Amino acid sequence: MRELEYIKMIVKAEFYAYVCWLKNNKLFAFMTLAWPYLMAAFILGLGTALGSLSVFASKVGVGDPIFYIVLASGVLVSSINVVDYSAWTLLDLKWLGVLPYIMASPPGLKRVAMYGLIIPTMISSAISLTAVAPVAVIVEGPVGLVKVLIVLGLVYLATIPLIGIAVIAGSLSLIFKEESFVSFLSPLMLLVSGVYYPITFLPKILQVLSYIVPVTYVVEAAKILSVFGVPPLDKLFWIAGVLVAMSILYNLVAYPGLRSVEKNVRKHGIST
Amino acid sequence: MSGSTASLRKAIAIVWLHLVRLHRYKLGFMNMIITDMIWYILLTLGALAFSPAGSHSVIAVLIFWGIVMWSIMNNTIWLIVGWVRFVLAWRIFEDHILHNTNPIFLISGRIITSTIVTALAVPVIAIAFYFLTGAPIIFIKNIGLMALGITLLIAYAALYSMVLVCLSLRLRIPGVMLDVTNMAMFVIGGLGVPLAWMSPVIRDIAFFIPYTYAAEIARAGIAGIKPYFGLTNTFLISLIYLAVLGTVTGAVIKYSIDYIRKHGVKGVGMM
Repeated sequence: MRELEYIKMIVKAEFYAYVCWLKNNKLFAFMTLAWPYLMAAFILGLGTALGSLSVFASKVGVGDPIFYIVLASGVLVSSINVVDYSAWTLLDLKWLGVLPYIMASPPGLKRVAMYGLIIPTMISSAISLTAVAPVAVIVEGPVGLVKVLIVLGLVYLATIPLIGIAVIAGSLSLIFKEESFVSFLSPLMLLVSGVYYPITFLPKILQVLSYIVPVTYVVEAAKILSVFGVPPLDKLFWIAGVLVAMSILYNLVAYPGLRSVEKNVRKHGIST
Repeated sequence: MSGSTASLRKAIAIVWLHLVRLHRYKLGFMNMIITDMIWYILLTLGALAFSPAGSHSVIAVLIFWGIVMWSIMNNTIWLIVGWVRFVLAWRIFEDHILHNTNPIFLISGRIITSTIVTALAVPVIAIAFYFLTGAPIIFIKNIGLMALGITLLIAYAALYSMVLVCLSLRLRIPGVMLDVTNMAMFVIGGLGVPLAWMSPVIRDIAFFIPYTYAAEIARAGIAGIKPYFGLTNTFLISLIYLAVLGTVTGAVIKYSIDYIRKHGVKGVGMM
Protein backbone atom coordinates (compact mmCIF):
# COMPACT_ATOMS: atom_id res chain seq x y z
CA MET A 1 0.00 0.00 0.00
CA ARG A 2 2.79 2.37 0.98
CA GLU A 3 4.63 1.42 -2.25
CA LEU A 4 1.65 2.65 -4.28
CA GLU A 5 1.67 5.93 -2.41
CA TYR A 6 5.37 6.36 -3.15
CA ILE A 7 4.80 5.66 -6.82
CA LYS A 8 1.95 8.19 -6.89
CA MET A 9 4.01 10.84 -5.11
CA ILE A 10 7.11 10.43 -7.25
CA VAL A 11 5.24 10.24 -10.55
CA LYS A 12 3.17 13.32 -9.64
CA ALA A 13 6.27 15.30 -8.65
CA GLU A 14 8.17 14.28 -11.78
CA PHE A 15 5.19 15.05 -14.00
CA TYR A 16 4.89 18.52 -12.48
CA ALA A 17 8.64 19.16 -12.77
CA TYR A 18 8.86 17.96 -16.37
CA VAL A 19 5.77 19.86 -17.58
CA CYS A 20 6.97 23.05 -15.86
CA TRP A 21 10.37 22.59 -17.47
CA LEU A 22 8.86 22.10 -20.93
CA LYS A 23 6.61 25.13 -20.41
CA ASN A 24 9.62 27.23 -19.48
CA ASN A 25 11.65 25.92 -22.35
CA LYS A 26 9.32 25.83 -25.34
CA LEU A 27 12.11 26.04 -27.86
CA PHE A 28 13.57 22.83 -26.41
CA ALA A 29 10.17 21.10 -26.84
CA PHE A 30 10.13 22.25 -30.45
CA MET A 31 13.66 20.94 -31.03
CA THR A 32 12.60 17.55 -29.64
CA LEU A 33 9.87 17.48 -32.29
CA ALA A 34 12.35 18.29 -35.05
CA TRP A 35 14.98 15.64 -34.24
CA PRO A 36 13.25 12.55 -35.75
CA TYR A 37 12.90 14.45 -39.04
CA LEU A 38 16.53 15.55 -38.97
CA MET A 39 17.64 11.96 -38.42
CA ALA A 40 15.32 10.66 -41.18
CA ALA A 41 16.54 13.36 -43.57
CA PHE A 42 20.15 12.51 -42.77
CA ILE A 43 19.83 8.79 -43.43
CA LEU A 44 17.73 9.43 -46.57
CA GLY A 45 20.29 11.95 -47.85
CA LEU A 46 23.18 9.65 -47.00
CA GLY A 47 21.57 6.61 -48.61
CA THR A 48 20.09 8.15 -51.74
CA ALA A 49 23.34 10.04 -52.46
CA LEU A 50 25.03 6.68 -53.01
CA GLY A 51 22.18 4.22 -53.59
CA SER A 52 18.41 3.98 -54.01
CA LEU A 53 15.23 3.62 -51.97
CA SER A 54 14.06 0.55 -53.87
CA VAL A 55 17.27 -1.31 -52.93
CA PHE A 56 16.72 -0.28 -49.30
CA ALA A 57 13.10 -1.52 -49.39
CA SER A 58 14.07 -4.92 -50.74
CA LYS A 59 17.07 -5.37 -48.41
CA VAL A 60 15.28 -4.28 -45.23
CA GLY A 61 12.01 -5.95 -46.25
CA VAL A 62 9.65 -3.00 -45.92
CA GLY A 63 6.77 -1.99 -48.18
CA ASP A 64 7.11 1.76 -47.91
CA PRO A 65 10.74 2.81 -47.26
CA ILE A 66 10.06 6.51 -46.55
CA PHE A 67 7.27 5.69 -44.09
CA TYR A 68 9.57 3.15 -42.42
CA ILE A 69 12.59 5.49 -42.20
CA VAL A 70 10.50 8.26 -40.66
CA LEU A 71 8.86 5.83 -38.20
CA ALA A 72 12.20 4.16 -37.39
CA SER A 73 13.78 7.57 -36.79
CA GLY A 74 11.01 8.31 -34.28
CA VAL A 75 11.81 4.98 -32.56
CA LEU A 76 15.55 5.74 -32.71
CA VAL A 77 15.22 9.20 -31.15
CA SER A 78 12.82 8.02 -28.45
CA SER A 79 15.10 5.06 -27.58
CA ILE A 80 18.11 7.38 -27.29
CA ASN A 81 16.05 9.71 -25.09
CA VAL A 82 14.90 6.88 -22.80
CA VAL A 83 18.33 5.31 -22.33
CA ASP A 84 20.30 8.55 -22.11
CA TYR A 85 17.82 10.24 -19.81
CA SER A 86 17.75 7.21 -17.50
CA ALA A 87 21.52 6.81 -17.46
CA TRP A 88 22.27 10.53 -17.08
CA THR A 89 19.70 11.39 -14.39
CA LEU A 90 21.70 9.80 -11.57
CA LEU A 91 24.87 11.47 -12.80
CA ASP A 92 23.07 14.83 -12.92
CA LEU A 93 21.87 14.34 -9.36
CA LYS A 94 25.44 13.45 -8.36
CA TRP A 95 26.83 16.57 -10.04
CA LEU A 96 24.18 18.78 -8.47
CA GLY A 97 24.98 17.35 -5.02
CA VAL A 98 21.37 16.44 -4.18
CA LEU A 99 21.80 12.66 -3.93
CA PRO A 100 22.22 12.67 -0.11
CA TYR A 101 18.86 14.46 0.25
CA ILE A 102 17.16 11.98 -2.07
CA MET A 103 18.63 9.07 -0.12
CA ALA A 104 17.46 10.59 3.14
CA SER A 105 13.91 11.06 1.79
CA PRO A 106 11.29 8.38 2.65
CA PRO A 107 11.10 6.84 -0.86
CA GLY A 108 14.90 6.62 -1.13
CA LEU A 109 17.13 6.55 -4.19
CA LYS A 110 15.94 3.26 -5.73
CA ARG A 111 12.31 4.36 -5.96
CA VAL A 112 13.12 7.88 -7.17
CA ALA A 113 15.46 6.43 -9.81
CA MET A 114 13.00 3.82 -11.05
CA TYR A 115 9.59 5.49 -10.81
CA GLY A 116 10.84 9.01 -11.37
CA LEU A 117 12.01 8.15 -14.85
CA ILE A 118 8.66 6.84 -16.07
CA ILE A 119 7.00 10.19 -16.76
CA PRO A 120 9.87 12.07 -18.48
CA THR A 121 10.67 9.11 -20.70
CA MET A 122 6.98 8.61 -21.57
CA ILE A 123 6.56 12.28 -22.46
CA SER A 124 9.74 12.46 -24.52
CA SER A 125 8.80 9.26 -26.41
CA ALA A 126 5.33 10.65 -27.06
CA ILE A 127 6.85 13.88 -28.41
CA SER A 128 9.29 12.02 -30.68
CA LEU A 129 6.65 9.72 -32.11
CA THR A 130 3.79 12.20 -32.42
CA ALA A 131 6.28 14.34 -34.32
CA VAL A 132 6.29 11.77 -37.11
CA ALA A 133 2.48 11.39 -37.10
CA PRO A 134 1.85 14.09 -39.75
CA VAL A 135 4.04 12.24 -42.27
CA ALA A 136 2.31 8.96 -41.40
CA VAL A 137 -1.10 10.56 -42.01
CA ILE A 138 0.03 12.10 -45.32
CA VAL A 139 1.45 8.78 -46.54
CA GLU A 140 -1.26 6.39 -45.29
CA GLY A 141 -4.17 8.49 -44.02
CA PRO A 142 -5.86 7.61 -40.69
CA VAL A 143 -4.33 4.09 -40.84
CA GLY A 144 -0.89 5.73 -40.62
CA LEU A 145 -1.90 7.48 -37.42
CA VAL A 146 -3.09 4.18 -35.92
CA LYS A 147 0.26 2.62 -36.86
CA VAL A 148 2.17 5.42 -35.12
CA LEU A 149 0.02 4.90 -32.00
CA ILE A 150 0.73 1.15 -32.09
CA VAL A 151 4.47 1.85 -32.26
CA LEU A 152 4.14 4.37 -29.42
CA GLY A 153 2.40 1.69 -27.34
CA LEU A 154 5.22 -0.75 -28.08
CA VAL A 155 7.84 1.93 -27.30
CA TYR A 156 6.14 2.38 -23.90
CA LEU A 157 6.31 -1.37 -23.34
CA ALA A 158 9.99 -1.34 -24.33
CA THR A 159 10.64 1.67 -22.07
CA ILE A 160 10.12 -0.40 -18.91
CA PRO A 161 12.95 -2.90 -19.56
CA LEU A 162 15.08 -0.10 -21.07
CA ILE A 163 14.79 1.93 -17.85
CA GLY A 164 15.84 -1.16 -15.91
CA ILE A 165 18.99 -1.60 -18.02
CA ALA A 166 19.86 2.10 -18.13
CA VAL A 167 19.32 2.78 -14.43
CA ILE A 168 21.60 -0.07 -13.43
CA ALA A 169 24.23 1.10 -15.90
CA GLY A 170 23.85 4.71 -14.78
CA SER A 171 24.05 3.81 -11.11
CA LEU A 172 27.55 2.43 -11.67
CA SER A 173 28.73 6.04 -11.99
CA LEU A 174 27.90 6.43 -8.27
CA ILE A 175 30.25 3.60 -7.32
CA PHE A 176 33.15 4.19 -9.71
CA LYS A 177 35.20 7.37 -9.71
CA GLU A 178 34.03 8.06 -13.23
CA GLU A 179 31.66 10.17 -15.24
CA SER A 180 29.11 8.50 -17.45
CA PHE A 181 30.85 5.58 -19.10
CA VAL A 182 27.70 3.93 -20.36
CA SER A 183 26.66 6.33 -23.10
CA PHE A 184 27.71 3.67 -25.62
CA LEU A 185 24.58 1.77 -24.53
CA SER A 186 22.08 3.64 -26.68
CA PRO A 187 24.08 3.46 -29.95
CA LEU A 188 24.93 -0.19 -29.19
CA MET A 189 21.24 -1.03 -28.77
CA LEU A 190 20.45 0.78 -32.00
CA LEU A 191 23.32 -0.97 -33.79
CA VAL A 192 22.13 -4.45 -32.86
CA SER A 193 18.45 -3.61 -33.41
CA GLY A 194 19.06 -3.04 -37.13
CA VAL A 195 17.17 0.20 -37.22
CA TYR A 196 18.36 1.21 -40.72
CA TYR A 197 19.53 -2.14 -42.14
CA PRO A 198 18.74 -5.86 -41.87
CA ILE A 199 20.21 -7.59 -38.81
CA THR A 200 21.88 -10.07 -41.17
CA PHE A 201 24.44 -7.31 -41.99
CA LEU A 202 25.86 -7.79 -38.47
CA PRO A 203 28.36 -10.41 -37.28
CA LYS A 204 26.76 -13.51 -35.69
CA ILE A 205 27.57 -12.46 -32.12
CA LEU A 206 25.77 -9.12 -32.52
CA GLN A 207 22.83 -10.90 -34.14
CA VAL A 208 22.50 -13.06 -31.02
CA LEU A 209 22.83 -9.97 -28.80
CA SER A 210 19.98 -8.32 -30.69
CA TYR A 211 17.49 -10.86 -29.29
CA ILE A 212 17.92 -9.53 -25.73
CA VAL A 213 17.60 -5.85 -26.68
CA PRO A 214 14.04 -4.49 -26.39
CA VAL A 215 14.55 -1.92 -29.19
CA THR A 216 15.00 -4.77 -31.70
CA TYR A 217 11.36 -5.78 -31.22
CA VAL A 218 10.06 -2.22 -31.61
CA VAL A 219 12.10 -1.87 -34.82
CA GLU A 220 10.70 -5.20 -36.00
CA ALA A 221 7.18 -3.91 -35.30
CA ALA A 222 7.94 -0.75 -37.29
CA LYS A 223 9.05 -2.97 -40.19
CA ILE A 224 5.84 -5.03 -39.96
CA LEU A 225 3.76 -1.85 -39.90
CA SER A 226 5.55 -0.41 -42.91
CA VAL A 227 3.39 -2.30 -45.37
CA PHE A 228 0.50 -0.59 -47.09
CA GLY A 229 -2.83 -1.37 -45.44
CA VAL A 230 -3.50 -3.59 -42.42
CA PRO A 231 -0.44 -5.41 -41.07
CA PRO A 232 -0.49 -8.96 -39.57
CA LEU A 233 -1.66 -8.31 -36.02
CA ASP A 234 -0.66 -11.72 -34.61
CA LYS A 235 3.03 -10.82 -35.00
CA LEU A 236 2.49 -7.54 -33.17
CA PHE A 237 0.82 -9.36 -30.27
CA TRP A 238 3.79 -11.71 -30.12
CA ILE A 239 6.17 -8.73 -29.97
CA ALA A 240 4.07 -7.13 -27.21
CA GLY A 241 4.28 -10.40 -25.26
CA VAL A 242 8.07 -10.51 -25.56
CA LEU A 243 8.33 -6.92 -24.32
CA VAL A 244 6.09 -7.62 -21.34
CA ALA A 245 8.24 -10.64 -20.44
CA MET A 246 11.40 -8.48 -20.75
CA SER A 247 9.85 -5.79 -18.54
CA ILE A 248 9.28 -8.30 -15.76
CA LEU A 249 12.61 -10.07 -16.15
CA TYR A 250 14.87 -7.01 -16.47
CA ASN A 251 13.25 -5.15 -13.60
CA LEU A 252 13.43 -8.23 -11.38
CA VAL A 253 17.20 -7.83 -11.78
CA ALA A 254 17.32 -4.02 -11.87
CA TYR A 255 15.43 -3.27 -8.65
CA PRO A 256 17.58 -5.43 -6.32
CA GLY A 257 20.65 -4.22 -8.25
CA LEU A 258 19.77 -0.62 -7.55
CA ARG A 259 19.09 -1.48 -3.90
CA SER A 260 22.60 -2.89 -3.54
CA VAL A 261 24.06 0.21 -5.25
CA GLU A 262 22.18 2.38 -2.75
CA LYS A 263 23.50 0.27 0.12
CA ASN A 264 27.04 0.59 -1.21
CA VAL A 265 26.71 4.35 -1.61
CA ARG A 266 25.29 4.71 1.92
CA LYS A 267 28.25 2.79 3.27
CA HIS A 268 31.11 4.23 1.22
CA GLY A 269 29.73 7.55 -0.02
CA ILE A 270 29.41 8.72 -3.62
CA SER A 271 32.54 8.43 -5.70
CA THR A 272 33.43 11.69 -7.42
CA MET B 1 53.16 38.94 -14.61
CA SER B 2 52.76 40.15 -18.21
CA GLY B 3 49.52 39.54 -20.10
CA SER B 4 51.02 37.01 -22.47
CA THR B 5 52.61 35.02 -19.64
CA ALA B 6 49.33 34.96 -17.75
CA SER B 7 47.46 33.82 -20.90
CA LEU B 8 50.05 31.09 -21.48
CA ARG B 9 49.70 29.88 -17.88
CA LYS B 10 45.92 29.77 -18.24
CA ALA B 11 46.18 27.87 -21.53
CA ILE B 12 48.58 25.34 -19.93
CA ALA B 13 46.21 24.95 -16.97
CA ILE B 14 43.26 24.28 -19.30
CA VAL B 15 45.24 21.72 -21.34
CA TRP B 16 46.46 20.10 -18.11
CA LEU B 17 42.91 19.91 -16.73
CA HIS B 18 41.60 18.11 -19.80
CA LEU B 19 44.54 15.70 -19.93
CA VAL B 20 44.16 14.89 -16.23
CA ARG B 21 40.45 14.27 -16.76
CA LEU B 22 41.23 11.90 -19.62
CA HIS B 23 43.70 10.04 -17.43
CA ARG B 24 41.35 9.92 -14.47
CA TYR B 25 38.17 8.96 -16.29
CA LYS B 26 39.62 6.05 -18.21
CA LEU B 27 36.33 4.20 -18.50
CA GLY B 28 34.60 7.33 -19.77
CA PHE B 29 37.40 7.78 -22.30
CA MET B 30 37.04 4.19 -23.51
CA ASN B 31 33.28 4.73 -23.62
CA MET B 32 33.75 7.69 -25.97
CA ILE B 33 35.95 5.68 -28.32
CA ILE B 34 33.51 2.75 -28.37
CA THR B 35 30.54 5.08 -28.88
CA ASP B 36 32.33 6.67 -31.81
CA MET B 37 33.11 3.34 -33.41
CA ILE B 38 29.51 2.16 -33.01
CA TRP B 39 28.16 5.25 -34.76
CA TYR B 40 30.65 4.79 -37.63
CA ILE B 41 29.45 1.21 -38.12
CA LEU B 42 25.77 2.02 -37.66
CA LEU B 43 25.75 4.84 -40.21
CA THR B 44 27.95 3.01 -42.71
CA LEU B 45 25.72 -0.08 -42.56
CA GLY B 46 22.68 2.19 -42.91
CA ALA B 47 24.15 3.71 -46.07
CA LEU B 48 25.16 0.30 -47.43
CA ALA B 49 21.53 -0.83 -47.12
CA PHE B 50 20.77 1.60 -49.97
CA SER B 51 23.52 0.39 -52.28
CA PRO B 52 23.00 -2.51 -54.74
CA ALA B 53 24.68 -5.85 -53.98
CA GLY B 54 28.13 -6.17 -55.53
CA SER B 55 28.93 -2.48 -55.29
CA HIS B 56 29.73 -2.59 -51.58
CA SER B 57 33.51 -2.42 -51.88
CA VAL B 58 33.44 0.69 -54.11
CA ILE B 59 30.68 2.48 -52.25
CA ALA B 60 32.16 1.58 -48.84
CA VAL B 61 35.27 3.72 -49.48
CA LEU B 62 33.16 6.76 -50.38
CA ILE B 63 30.76 6.26 -47.53
CA PHE B 64 33.34 5.39 -44.89
CA TRP B 65 35.55 8.49 -45.15
CA GLY B 66 32.52 10.74 -45.60
CA ILE B 67 31.08 9.39 -42.37
CA VAL B 68 34.46 9.68 -40.62
CA MET B 69 34.73 13.37 -41.56
CA TRP B 70 31.13 14.02 -40.61
CA SER B 71 31.67 12.25 -37.27
CA ILE B 72 34.84 14.22 -36.54
CA MET B 73 32.90 17.43 -37.07
CA ASN B 74 29.92 16.17 -35.09
CA ASN B 75 32.02 14.83 -32.20
CA THR B 76 33.97 18.02 -31.82
CA ILE B 77 30.74 19.98 -31.60
CA TRP B 78 28.97 17.57 -29.24
CA LEU B 79 31.91 17.11 -26.89
CA ILE B 80 32.51 20.84 -26.57
CA VAL B 81 28.90 22.01 -26.44
CA GLY B 82 27.72 19.05 -24.36
CA TRP B 83 30.21 19.98 -21.63
CA VAL B 84 28.27 23.13 -20.76
CA ARG B 85 25.97 20.89 -18.71
CA PHE B 86 28.91 19.70 -16.59
CA VAL B 87 30.43 23.16 -16.13
CA LEU B 88 27.11 24.61 -14.99
CA ALA B 89 26.20 21.66 -12.76
CA TRP B 90 29.56 21.95 -10.98
CA ARG B 91 29.12 25.71 -10.74
CA ILE B 92 32.60 26.40 -12.06
CA PHE B 93 31.48 28.82 -14.76
CA GLU B 94 31.34 31.88 -12.50
CA ASP B 95 34.47 30.68 -10.66
CA HIS B 96 36.47 31.02 -13.84
CA ILE B 97 35.12 34.50 -14.53
CA LEU B 98 36.08 35.51 -10.98
CA HIS B 99 39.59 34.18 -11.61
CA ASN B 100 39.77 36.21 -14.81
CA THR B 101 39.76 33.12 -17.02
CA ASN B 102 37.31 32.93 -19.88
CA PRO B 103 35.03 29.90 -19.19
CA ILE B 104 34.35 29.51 -22.92
CA PHE B 105 38.04 28.71 -23.42
CA LEU B 106 37.84 26.22 -20.57
CA ILE B 107 34.92 24.52 -22.34
CA SER B 108 36.64 24.65 -25.74
CA GLY B 109 39.52 22.68 -24.21
CA ARG B 110 37.33 19.65 -24.86
CA ILE B 111 38.80 19.77 -28.34
CA ILE B 112 41.74 17.88 -26.79
CA THR B 113 39.42 15.07 -25.73
CA SER B 114 37.62 14.90 -29.07
CA THR B 115 40.86 14.90 -31.07
CA ILE B 116 42.39 12.08 -29.02
CA VAL B 117 39.18 10.05 -29.24
CA THR B 118 39.10 10.50 -33.03
CA ALA B 119 42.79 9.70 -33.41
CA LEU B 120 42.26 6.38 -31.61
CA ALA B 121 38.84 5.42 -32.97
CA VAL B 122 39.36 6.07 -36.70
CA PRO B 123 42.38 3.79 -37.35
CA VAL B 124 40.83 0.93 -35.35
CA ILE B 125 37.51 1.10 -37.13
CA ALA B 126 39.18 1.63 -40.54
CA ILE B 127 41.25 -1.52 -40.11
CA ALA B 128 38.23 -3.47 -38.82
CA PHE B 129 36.18 -2.30 -41.78
CA TYR B 130 38.93 -3.18 -44.22
CA PHE B 131 38.92 -6.75 -42.95
CA LEU B 132 35.11 -6.89 -42.90
CA THR B 133 34.40 -5.47 -46.37
CA GLY B 134 37.73 -5.80 -48.15
CA ALA B 135 37.29 -2.23 -49.40
CA PRO B 136 40.64 -0.42 -49.73
CA ILE B 137 39.77 2.25 -47.17
CA ILE B 138 43.13 2.16 -45.39
CA PHE B 139 45.28 2.97 -48.43
CA ILE B 140 45.73 6.74 -48.11
CA LYS B 141 47.29 8.60 -51.07
CA ASN B 142 48.80 11.52 -49.11
CA ILE B 143 48.60 11.38 -45.33
CA GLY B 144 49.86 14.98 -44.92
CA LEU B 145 47.01 16.43 -46.99
CA MET B 146 44.50 14.26 -45.18
CA ALA B 147 45.81 15.49 -41.81
CA LEU B 148 45.67 19.12 -43.00
CA GLY B 149 42.07 18.76 -44.17
CA ILE B 150 40.99 17.07 -40.95
CA THR B 151 42.81 19.69 -38.83
CA LEU B 152 40.94 22.46 -40.65
CA LEU B 153 37.69 20.54 -40.17
CA ILE B 154 38.30 20.31 -36.41
CA ALA B 155 39.21 24.01 -36.23
CA TYR B 156 35.98 25.07 -37.98
CA ALA B 157 33.90 22.75 -35.80
CA ALA B 158 35.57 24.06 -32.62
CA LEU B 159 34.93 27.71 -33.55
CA TYR B 160 31.31 26.92 -34.44
CA SER B 161 30.95 25.05 -31.12
CA MET B 162 32.08 28.09 -29.17
CA VAL B 163 29.35 30.14 -30.83
CA LEU B 164 26.80 27.44 -29.89
CA VAL B 165 28.09 27.45 -26.30
CA CYS B 166 27.51 31.22 -26.12
CA LEU B 167 24.01 30.80 -27.61
CA SER B 168 23.07 27.97 -25.25
CA LEU B 169 24.01 30.14 -22.28
CA ARG B 170 21.62 32.84 -23.51
CA LEU B 171 18.75 30.62 -24.70
CA ARG B 172 18.69 27.94 -21.94
CA ILE B 173 18.63 25.18 -24.56
CA PRO B 174 21.20 22.40 -24.43
CA GLY B 175 23.70 23.50 -27.06
CA VAL B 176 23.78 20.10 -28.73
CA MET B 177 20.12 20.50 -29.59
CA LEU B 178 20.88 23.81 -31.25
CA ASP B 179 23.14 22.04 -33.67
CA VAL B 180 20.39 21.32 -36.19
CA THR B 181 22.73 21.91 -39.11
CA ASN B 182 25.04 18.96 -38.42
CA MET B 183 22.90 16.38 -40.23
CA ALA B 184 22.73 18.48 -43.40
CA MET B 185 26.49 18.99 -43.47
CA PHE B 186 27.07 15.52 -44.90
CA VAL B 187 25.67 16.67 -48.23
CA ILE B 188 25.60 20.48 -48.31
CA GLY B 189 28.80 20.78 -46.27
CA GLY B 190 30.62 18.69 -48.83
CA LEU B 191 31.69 16.09 -46.24
CA GLY B 192 30.17 13.11 -48.01
CA VAL B 193 30.11 14.27 -51.60
CA PRO B 194 32.91 16.09 -53.54
CA LEU B 195 31.99 19.53 -54.93
CA ALA B 196 32.47 18.31 -58.49
CA TRP B 197 29.83 15.59 -58.01
CA MET B 198 27.16 17.86 -56.51
CA SER B 199 24.14 19.20 -58.34
CA PRO B 200 24.58 22.90 -59.20
CA VAL B 201 22.00 24.04 -56.61
CA ILE B 202 23.65 22.15 -53.74
CA ARG B 203 27.09 23.21 -54.93
CA ASP B 204 26.03 26.88 -54.73
CA ILE B 205 25.11 26.33 -51.06
CA ALA B 206 28.25 24.30 -50.35
CA PHE B 207 30.48 27.19 -51.55
CA PHE B 208 29.42 29.14 -48.46
CA ILE B 209 30.16 26.38 -45.96
CA PRO B 210 33.74 26.22 -44.65
CA TYR B 211 33.67 22.43 -44.11
CA THR B 212 33.46 21.98 -47.88
CA TYR B 213 37.03 23.21 -48.40
CA ALA B 214 38.47 21.22 -45.50
CA ALA B 215 36.78 18.09 -46.87
CA GLU B 216 38.07 18.78 -50.40
CA ILE B 217 41.65 18.94 -49.08
CA ALA B 218 41.16 15.81 -46.96
CA ARG B 219 39.65 13.90 -49.91
CA ALA B 220 42.61 14.89 -52.08
CA GLY B 221 44.80 13.21 -49.48
CA ILE B 222 42.57 10.18 -48.93
CA ALA B 223 41.59 9.22 -52.46
CA GLY B 224 43.52 11.62 -54.70
CA ILE B 225 40.31 13.37 -55.82
CA LYS B 226 41.36 16.78 -57.17
CA PRO B 227 39.62 19.70 -55.39
CA TYR B 228 37.06 21.62 -57.49
CA PHE B 229 39.06 24.89 -57.31
CA GLY B 230 42.50 23.24 -57.34
CA LEU B 231 44.52 22.50 -54.24
CA THR B 232 46.20 25.89 -53.75
CA ASN B 233 43.02 27.91 -54.21
CA THR B 234 41.07 25.59 -51.93
CA PHE B 235 43.72 25.96 -49.26
CA LEU B 236 43.66 29.77 -49.57
CA ILE B 237 39.85 29.87 -49.35
CA SER B 238 39.94 27.60 -46.31
CA LEU B 239 42.41 29.98 -44.59
CA ILE B 240 40.18 32.98 -45.33
CA TYR B 241 37.21 31.11 -43.83
CA LEU B 242 39.30 30.28 -40.77
CA ALA B 243 40.20 33.93 -40.25
CA VAL B 244 36.60 35.10 -40.70
CA LEU B 245 35.17 32.41 -38.41
CA GLY B 246 37.85 33.14 -35.80
CA THR B 247 37.04 36.85 -35.81
CA VAL B 248 33.27 36.29 -35.60
CA THR B 249 33.66 33.73 -32.81
CA GLY B 250 35.95 36.07 -30.86
CA ALA B 251 33.37 38.84 -31.09
CA VAL B 252 30.50 36.53 -30.03
CA ILE B 253 32.50 35.26 -27.03
CA LYS B 254 33.34 38.80 -25.93
CA TYR B 255 29.71 39.89 -26.24
CA SER B 256 28.47 36.82 -24.33
CA ILE B 257 30.94 37.14 -21.47
CA ASP B 258 30.14 40.85 -21.12
CA TYR B 259 26.46 39.96 -21.03
CA ILE B 260 26.98 37.18 -18.47
CA ARG B 261 29.05 39.46 -16.23
CA LYS B 262 26.06 41.83 -16.09
CA HIS B 263 23.10 39.40 -16.11
CA GLY B 264 24.44 36.05 -14.95
CA VAL B 265 24.33 32.66 -16.66
CA LYS B 266 20.96 31.77 -18.16
CA GLY B 267 21.64 28.07 -18.38
CA VAL B 268 19.35 26.57 -15.75
CA GLY B 269 17.40 23.35 -15.30
CA MET B 270 18.29 20.42 -17.50
CA MET B 271 21.13 21.98 -19.46
